[in-house]
Amino acid sequence: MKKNDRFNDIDNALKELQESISQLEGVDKDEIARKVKQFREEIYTGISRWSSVELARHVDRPVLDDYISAIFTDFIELHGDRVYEDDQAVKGGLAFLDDIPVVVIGHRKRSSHLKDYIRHHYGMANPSGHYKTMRLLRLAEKFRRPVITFVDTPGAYPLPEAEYKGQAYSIAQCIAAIAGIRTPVVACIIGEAGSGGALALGFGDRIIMLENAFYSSISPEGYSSIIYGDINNRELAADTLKGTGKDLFREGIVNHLVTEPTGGAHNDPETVIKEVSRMIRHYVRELVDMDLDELLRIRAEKIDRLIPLG
Amino acid sequence: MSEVLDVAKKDGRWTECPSCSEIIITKKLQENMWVCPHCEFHFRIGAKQRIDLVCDEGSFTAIHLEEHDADDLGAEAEEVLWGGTATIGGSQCVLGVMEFSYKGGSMGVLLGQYIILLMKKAQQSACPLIVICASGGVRIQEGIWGLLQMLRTSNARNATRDVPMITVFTDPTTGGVSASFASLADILLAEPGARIGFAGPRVIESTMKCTLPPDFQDSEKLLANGFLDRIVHRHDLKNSLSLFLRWF
Ligand SMILES: [Zn+2]
Repeated sequence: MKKNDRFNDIDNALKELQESISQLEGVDKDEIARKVKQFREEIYTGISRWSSVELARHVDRPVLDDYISAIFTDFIELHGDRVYEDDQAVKGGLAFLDDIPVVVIGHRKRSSHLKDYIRHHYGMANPSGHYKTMRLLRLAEKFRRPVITFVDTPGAYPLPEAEYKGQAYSIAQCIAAIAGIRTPVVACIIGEAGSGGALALGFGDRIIMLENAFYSSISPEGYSSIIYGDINNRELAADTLKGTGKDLFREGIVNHLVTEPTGGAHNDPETVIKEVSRMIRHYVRELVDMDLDELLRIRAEKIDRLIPLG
Repeated sequence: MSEVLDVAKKDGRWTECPSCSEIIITKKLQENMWVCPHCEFHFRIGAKQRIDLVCDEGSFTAIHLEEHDADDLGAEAEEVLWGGTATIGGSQCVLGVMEFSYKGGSMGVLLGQYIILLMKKAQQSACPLIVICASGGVRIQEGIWGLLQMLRTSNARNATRDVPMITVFTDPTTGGVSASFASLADILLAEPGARIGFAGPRVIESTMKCTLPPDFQDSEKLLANGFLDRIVHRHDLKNSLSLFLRWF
């Protein structure tokens, strides 16, 4: 993932510089550290939307497994779509949120400590991944357990086989299922959230989104290719798409914006995940106390109102 | 030496693992829940042993089939399936365990009746239902009536669909059991290396004149193909079941 290494390069260069200066005689190490910190913050302040996209895809960004292990207890993964496959791009199962039994479903870009993107095809789901989602949603509905989703995908898997096996149909099923499910849903947008593949898991009664996550109908590169004929205008495309956490929070689509530390979530994953965790707990407790018919009525109204403000 | 072994195997003190051919002291094997300590092969075990392995000690209380009490048929159904109430890790459930060694765990009219009874008991007592399966399928000797038990048990599952249900597939579960109520559970678990399917490999090979790969219908293959939630090692089965019961 060479193209994503820009931020690593900056951070590594600063670290090296700081270390080598600190080894010189007669320098004030604290002063050097303070200046480096200040400089770093300046670099990252007001970073462009395109930079957010890059941070959303950063190789060290916390992923699904990091959230699951930090937020829930006794997670039991449930495999398979019960039709033909166990898609590795979607992971789901049963877990406990404190004392509340819940269902967790998310895109898995890679496992926590292994950068095995290939096995999980970068979190891009096959129809079987969507059928797995469907059956987990049905399970949640039967037992009236809250659903917590984690979205981190460039989009659905663009393979001919996926088309033959009903990619469009399977995504439609998920979207309709979440819209109508008779149990509360909290969606967390933690990284990339591209297109219908993201929407399959990307809506809920409450939506939590990270500052540098990017949620839109298409990737900036895809937009640039379609509109300008190549990917060179991806930065402009990112500004047109307005898909960062801040953008969606401003539009009222997202309920809670999780700010990221300077340089992106991977610089302090613990704090970021703790904040996501706190909000999930807050929202789940709020939603389980609501009358179910009322919850569905409010959700339907919320969906109805998903049009641009003024 | 081999003669000594033969004698030891014959009187049951030693057991040969059918998977890795290691000779194991039977008592050791028993202590290891009949799992080969060398290759993790899961030996087929009886219903009584399974109940001892998963239930809290002394908690299993049999549920009896009332119909046909007078004749031997009701008793026969209870040989194929051990049904009762129990606690697992402190959680109450209704449990059915199939006995493959008795007529291949086959499902005839009375077994169908018994399974339906367990479903209803679970619903009445608001308890989850766990069925540990091992079956060659429908009892073909009962002809159409055997076959129709697939419909009757499936229909009963529909009628009791609010009951949380777990199926544990053990080696082997094929035919009419895997293709009816067993697959209609909320959670589908299997032991490692269990053969689970509809048509058995011999039927397919002889009908289709083909050769099948050795892992055909293995639980590992089924997991990859999306049909199972999890494969659970026998050592973890009790813990796993109690976790599900706690979640329900
Ligand atoms: Zn062995």
